[in-house]
Amino acid sequence: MANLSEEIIIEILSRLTITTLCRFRSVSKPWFSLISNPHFIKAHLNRNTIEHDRLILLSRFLFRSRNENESLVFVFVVGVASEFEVGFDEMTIGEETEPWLRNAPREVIGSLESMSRMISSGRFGIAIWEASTDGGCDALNAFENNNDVTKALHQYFQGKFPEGPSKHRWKHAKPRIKRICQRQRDIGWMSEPSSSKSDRFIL
Amino acid sequence: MSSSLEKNMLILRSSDGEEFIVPEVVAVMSKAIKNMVEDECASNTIPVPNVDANILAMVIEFCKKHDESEAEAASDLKTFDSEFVNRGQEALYDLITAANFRDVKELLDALCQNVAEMIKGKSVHHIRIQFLGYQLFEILTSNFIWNIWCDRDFD
Repeated sequence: MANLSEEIIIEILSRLTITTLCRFRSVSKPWFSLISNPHFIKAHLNRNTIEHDRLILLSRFLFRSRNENESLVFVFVVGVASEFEVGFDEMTIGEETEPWLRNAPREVIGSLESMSRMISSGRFGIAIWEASTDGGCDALNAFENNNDVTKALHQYFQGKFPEGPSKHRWKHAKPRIKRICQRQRDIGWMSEPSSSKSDRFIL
Repeated sequence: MSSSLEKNMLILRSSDGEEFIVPEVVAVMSKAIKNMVEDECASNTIPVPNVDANILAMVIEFCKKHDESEAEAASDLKTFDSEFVNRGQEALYDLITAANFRDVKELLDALCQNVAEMIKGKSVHHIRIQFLGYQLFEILTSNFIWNIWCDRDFD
């Protein structure tokens, strides 16, 4: 395999699932840069879109708990691309969606199979990624409309942080968020989220 | 010699000089050969450099089967494919290189899928040692992840 050309390696790796690819990033430096490469990600996405619909990131929130055993949670609200009749390059959301969704930054984040499967029944989904545990997507749900999304988010976070997230902690959280975002950006499955507009507190 | 052959037969010559007589329909499954035939830049004998007789025989076997069974059930072809690609690593990589070089899309697809399935469940160390040919000392002396982490700059 060492003497195969990069073209073929790409061909092989683009048949693997994202979970496997994330593991294989640490195989070697060439593989790391290959898998993190946006072109590779696009190729991977294109290969897997026939079975799995594209997901677009509709919005992104950041939560931080008030208590001392700090936990940082990213929430991705995800929609299935075909539902919104969007192309890969020009992404517009239909008129009927709520303004907060319409104005939210959105991007294609990947073809996570499990997410796609769960969301295919509904129109929206939430993926919750907990930065503190660094685990994968924590909770995935499918919803009929965006009211349900908001409600479900409230429920999830009321269970998680009964006191609600605190605003003044934001300042302290920022360097860490930046670092995490950088890491995620390096990995390539997420583009820069740290502009203050896209990171919002809800609740 | 060419006159004695039927018109739709081609001769493929491997890198070590062995010759294979192949129907044109089978040979043109390779896009590279197809282009050569269409441009009429090839006489009846087509040299296939970089591919030795062993590998070329395998490729031809694959192409023949696919050509014959075009009308047959797809499941038949699938079982053939999975048996065909079930080989040792060395032969597999040689085949991939040949398929890529000769541009045989079906073969390349089947082979890449096979390799992907082989490495799918493996650990990182497995991949390094079994597939990438790293020596054990290389892994022990260089900590890849650590190097990657040190290379990045956080702002």
